[in-house]
Amino acid sequence: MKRLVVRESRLSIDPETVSEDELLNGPLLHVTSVGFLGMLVQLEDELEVTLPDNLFAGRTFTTVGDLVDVVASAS
Amino acid sequence: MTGAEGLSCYTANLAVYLSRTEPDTLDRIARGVRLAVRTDLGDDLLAFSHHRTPVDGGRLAYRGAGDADAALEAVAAEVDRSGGCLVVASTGNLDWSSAGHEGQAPHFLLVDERRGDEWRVVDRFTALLPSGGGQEPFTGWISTAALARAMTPIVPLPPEQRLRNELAFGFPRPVPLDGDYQWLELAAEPAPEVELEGEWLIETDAVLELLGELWSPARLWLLDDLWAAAQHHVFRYDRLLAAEEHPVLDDARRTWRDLPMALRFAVDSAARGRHRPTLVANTFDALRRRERDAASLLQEGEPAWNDRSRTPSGTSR
Repeated sequence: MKRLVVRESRLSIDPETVSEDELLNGPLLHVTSVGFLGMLVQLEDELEVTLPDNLFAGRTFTTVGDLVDVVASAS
Repeated sequence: MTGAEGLSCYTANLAVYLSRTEPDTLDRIARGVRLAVRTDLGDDLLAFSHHRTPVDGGRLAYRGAGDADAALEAVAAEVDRSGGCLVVASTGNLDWSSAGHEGQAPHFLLVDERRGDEWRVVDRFTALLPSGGGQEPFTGWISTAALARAMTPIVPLPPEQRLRNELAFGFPRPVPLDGDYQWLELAAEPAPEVELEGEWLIETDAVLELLGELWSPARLWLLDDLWAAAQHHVFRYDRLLAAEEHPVLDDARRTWRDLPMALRFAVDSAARGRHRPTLVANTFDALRRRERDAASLLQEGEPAWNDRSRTPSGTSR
């Protein structure tokens, strides 16, 4: 997942250096809302999971950790 | 974002144009936001009205010309006469947009000065585009050739885009022939008030229920109308929240903000063979709940929240 956010932000850094507190669109990462949607689709394909249908209900995607949480809830 | 740049590709620069002489424009637009839908057009078409009252007070009229020279001459005359002229551009022909040819859509652009072979244009619209690129606000001088290119008509004009042109002010306005270069001229007197013709749903809850039922990745054009509705409603709630914070209004704002994202995700998923009817149903259901809660609050609420708009024209049948 960190590899995806690094790639989406067009950075060449070690994904392991990105903390879960890191903002998806902040000083380091630059994930736009359009890029974010593309990442969700890629995550489903690459991790072979199905993200929940209440994906957007009452949830905000601000940090890398928010993304980790939603993937953890996937079937 | 509470400025004009948070509005749609028609309303953003229309707001800039009107704000020159009417300082209350943004609040008035926010108070008048609605989502009404015409249901009797057939051919799998829907028309949308996003404003309870004519945004321009009925004073702007479309004009058209078959060639760029005649159009630019008329635009120059309107700039001289009124101090500015809204022209109908296409996003795909704007140097500052990365929409590209496939992303062509009508777009109001303000021209407010001419200096020989140069035109000063104002475009406050900003958006992220599905291509991943975007359109940032632009103010500056462009050449006559660039303005003519920006105004090059979309041919053929898709029927849903013609409907958006007709209803850009919230109520039907005659549009020039397809294929004409188009702009708007300010009339001395407002046009007579018109009603919404045909069969319209004007209650938000009923509109959202219908759209939830009709939504399908095959009707991709609906995404643009719902994106515009979301922009307008987020703008409305931003301005209400600026007057006073309230979690109910914040929830409604967030749900509108996330609507296009959820629908786009459903489209992208469907394209990869994963259909998401439950996600779409949940999204519309949540939006209906949030809108009902916000409407109740605003009806009972403090004066700062009261919607001072006139009663909507048109009838629900």
